[in-house]
Amino acid sequence: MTARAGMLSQVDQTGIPLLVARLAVGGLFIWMGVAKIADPVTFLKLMRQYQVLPTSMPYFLNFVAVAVPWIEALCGVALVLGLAVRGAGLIATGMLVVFTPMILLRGLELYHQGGVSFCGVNFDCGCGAGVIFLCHKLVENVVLFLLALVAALSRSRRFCLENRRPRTGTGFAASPENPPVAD
Amino acid sequence: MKTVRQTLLEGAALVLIACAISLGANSVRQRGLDLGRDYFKAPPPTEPLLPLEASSPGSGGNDPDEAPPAEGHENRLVNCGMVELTLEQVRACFRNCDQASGASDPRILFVDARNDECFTEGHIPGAVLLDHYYMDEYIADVLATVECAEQIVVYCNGIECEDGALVCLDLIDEGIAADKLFLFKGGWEAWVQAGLPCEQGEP
Repeated sequence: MTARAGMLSQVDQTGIPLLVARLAVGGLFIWMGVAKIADPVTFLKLMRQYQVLPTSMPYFLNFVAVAVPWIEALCGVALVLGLAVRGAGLIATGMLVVFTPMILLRGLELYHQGGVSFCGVNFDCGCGAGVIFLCHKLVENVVLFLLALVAALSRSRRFCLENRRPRTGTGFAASPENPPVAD
Repeated sequence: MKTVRQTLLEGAALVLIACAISLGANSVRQRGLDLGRDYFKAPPPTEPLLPLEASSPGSGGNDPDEAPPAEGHENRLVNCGMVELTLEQVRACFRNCDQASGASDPRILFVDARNDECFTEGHIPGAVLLDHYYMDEYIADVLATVECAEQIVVYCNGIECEDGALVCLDLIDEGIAADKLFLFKGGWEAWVQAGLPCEQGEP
């Protein structure tokens, strides 16, 4: 267990996993956030389709439709630049944890309506990428979730604007055999 | 523990900054959402919206007249006293208008409830645009035209689209008699698939 943690720490200290995670998640979040910002009405209508927000509070629905794309885009910018990486990784993880089950439930709903295979179900999930295939989206979100976790947990700050002494405590290098090393 | 707290603080700060930016940007942009407006004043559909494309080959109008009606839409229309038109009815109406006057009949007005981008790409000849989400931009011009019409046929994208019904409700709110209003349920998709004439151009 300790050896595995040590190996993870060494890989993490290279900064490469974090860089890949930041660029992949950040880039995609910026792209999808900007697409939603550009067309708030479409996002508003799609959010309503999920029927998770109370219809008795239309103002809340409007606010969510306005704010979520900006949270997504700002989170993406922070990840790409390497600022507040852990916080941005945490938000990205949280958004994926919330939205992926919603997409799955909506996909299942459509699957039970139409006579197509599970992976043949396609619809506009409101993700900013237009009409998508359900399986493709679920796989994409799982990969993004794992990458967002890397961003949230990595202790490396290489290639980040927020380039400072790594923190102690949690993360990949929590073992006492692998003390934090300054970049 | 310190790291966890700092991570949470970073996350909270990002969310707060994003919310502030979003509210500021929404208030200054020309086509921002009106946060205080209830865009969906009608009750939501009682059955889930129909799937798109591969999920339901019939949706989008291979033959929209035979497609099962969305219960929520039906209820909404009945409550407002509006009547739905089938593709055949709309086609007959359009053909009669065309033969009678050689142009679109001013007594019958088509109202396009889609957005300006869709309208510019193509719409029913003679139709006027009324985007439910940006009413203020269009309502004055549309009302001037609508008040002269004896029958108003409202349409949007297709059977799963509810913007047509919302525009009907908007027009009723503006004082247009419900018995003049008709909703073309098959909408633009059915119109195009039936090979009926289209017109391009900005609103």
